[in-house]
Amino acid sequence: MPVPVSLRSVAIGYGSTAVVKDFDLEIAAGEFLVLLGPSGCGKSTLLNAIAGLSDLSDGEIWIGERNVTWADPKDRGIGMVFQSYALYPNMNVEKNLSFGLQVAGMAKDEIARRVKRTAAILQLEPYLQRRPAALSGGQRQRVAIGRALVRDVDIFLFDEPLSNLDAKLRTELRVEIKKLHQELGSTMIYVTHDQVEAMTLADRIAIMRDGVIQQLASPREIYHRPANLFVAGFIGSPAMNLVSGALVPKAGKTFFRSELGTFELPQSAPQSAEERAVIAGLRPEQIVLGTASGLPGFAAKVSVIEAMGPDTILWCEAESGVFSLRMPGDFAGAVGDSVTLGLDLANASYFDSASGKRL
Amino acid sequence: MRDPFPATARGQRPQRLTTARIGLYAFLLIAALFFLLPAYVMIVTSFKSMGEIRSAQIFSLPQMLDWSYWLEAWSSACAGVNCNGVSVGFWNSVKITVPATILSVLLGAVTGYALSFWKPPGSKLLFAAITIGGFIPLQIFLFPMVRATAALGLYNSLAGIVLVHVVFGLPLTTLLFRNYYAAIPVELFKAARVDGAGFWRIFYALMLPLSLPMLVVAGLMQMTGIWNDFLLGLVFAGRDNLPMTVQLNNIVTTTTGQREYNVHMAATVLTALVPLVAYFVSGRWFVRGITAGSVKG
Repeated sequence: MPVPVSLRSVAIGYGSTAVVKDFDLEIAAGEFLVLLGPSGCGKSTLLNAIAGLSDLSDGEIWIGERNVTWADPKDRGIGMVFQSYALYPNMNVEKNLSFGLQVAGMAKDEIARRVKRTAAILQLEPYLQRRPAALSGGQRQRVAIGRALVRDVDIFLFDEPLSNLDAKLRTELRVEIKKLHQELGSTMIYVTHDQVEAMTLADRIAIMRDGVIQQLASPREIYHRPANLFVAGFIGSPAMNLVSGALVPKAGKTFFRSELGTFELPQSAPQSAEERAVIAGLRPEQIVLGTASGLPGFAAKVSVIEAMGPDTILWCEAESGVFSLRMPGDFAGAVGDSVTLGLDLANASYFDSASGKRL
Repeated sequence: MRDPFPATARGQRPQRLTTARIGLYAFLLIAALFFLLPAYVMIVTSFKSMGEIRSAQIFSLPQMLDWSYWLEAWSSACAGVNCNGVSVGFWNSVKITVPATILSVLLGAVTGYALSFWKPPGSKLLFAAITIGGFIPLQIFLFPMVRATAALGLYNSLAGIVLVHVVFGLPLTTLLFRNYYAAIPVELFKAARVDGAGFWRIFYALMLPLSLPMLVVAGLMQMTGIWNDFLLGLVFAGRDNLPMTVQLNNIVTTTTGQREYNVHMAATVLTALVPLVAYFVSGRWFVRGITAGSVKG
């Protein structure tokens, strides 16, 4: 049975050095929640607190029906996977897997049965007698996951588990973790600073900055409707194009006025009864090339072309700044070309200039 | 000037003996001689008869390999009125060194482990105090220590001298192990806690096996230090437990009759033999231990 996790008014650290203050988060049973944020935002601190490896200064943590605020890590029903793998170097894979069960005083045949089952799930059977030093990075991280799996934990905690792996292995293991979640249905909490991991794995992403959640939503929502400028800038590569301007009401319609020109906003975009300063955010795919689309446009010059394979990133210089566009992989063009850029203002995001909040 | 880009350059660079190299080897050779010469004289002298010694050819080889002075040094050389050689002192030293080394190393490992990973309140202050304690000359503590051991009823006993060695050894061993454990990733400790292991379980199942190189280094340093100790043994051990160093001194300074340099030299070599053998046997481990932590593993 999947188990929910609940953080209630949690504070960690004291006084002015508090990393996290008055923090609330409800994680549903069986949910894959990703804590995403730049380093130092408090995401790892929170994970350690959920694991019981660091103490709270205030608040409560509930796992299922139990208040685990003062419980030892071993009594919380959690397993944890670390960035540095943290495998016991003096024990072979089999001992690494069975250590927790031995500590718990489990019968030998039951331990053997569980180790066998876990090794089968993670395809570790050929390596059971090897020491961690004789394993590749991917194998090591699978053993680390197995150490949680073998104990039948309710909650899996991942602390940047893929950051030490090379790009290819990272993609492979990402898929494996996702599959594991689909098979087990356990609650998983995953800390990372990698937006691709967050987008691909999460049911919901909590984007954090300075100990505060900026937005808690599905990957889709976060990408297409970022709650504020921080989220808009943190998610997406290349980053969202930002255009400063103002919403201007005129004859019952709202216009977006900026250095690029004044454009009428469609009804689906935010409307305003009075003039207000805003920042429009356009994803690279919300800017199109050419005037055929009928979108309002402006002139620019191609300055850099990045071929990524499946698509091509185009960097264009206009009078008011640099814009990035996502073009198909077979894009044919050259640096220095004069182009017209069209803005998809209907689907763009608009943020209040002063507060940075989404309109 | 040598051409830095010779047209014939291909494959491995030729080794050249430069003047700097020659100077370096000469220095190393002289340094080695400086330390080896006294050892040579001692060993050579221990085989010479008194007649040979008096002939004042200190560097000459003995005329024959006569082990009798070694036998005398071991079992019948006189310290005052006791003519039992250094053998009694040897066994006393073993009885002092073995338990004191094991205890001080294991206790240092436990305290270093606790300070590194569990960080009890005040652990930083405690570690600072231990470090400072390690730098204060132990002579300062002699008198308070005499009173303390006397109050415990351990003055002039084997248990007393072992306790004193353990206490004076702890700052060093704690320091060594704390710094050794500081280089072990804290995630390892966290993983073991998540697995449910407690203070002692993590220590003996995980940390102790990982600290084998440091166990060897700390053990060796403690062993040689305790074996070579003179002052503490003289003050705390009591007449029945005097270590080998003290008995050696008593033999060498006994002034009745002529000075038997051959016997004295043999007794001295015997006394120095134990730490010497220990270093030879564990040299590889020793180097590995003192460089551990310098390279991220």
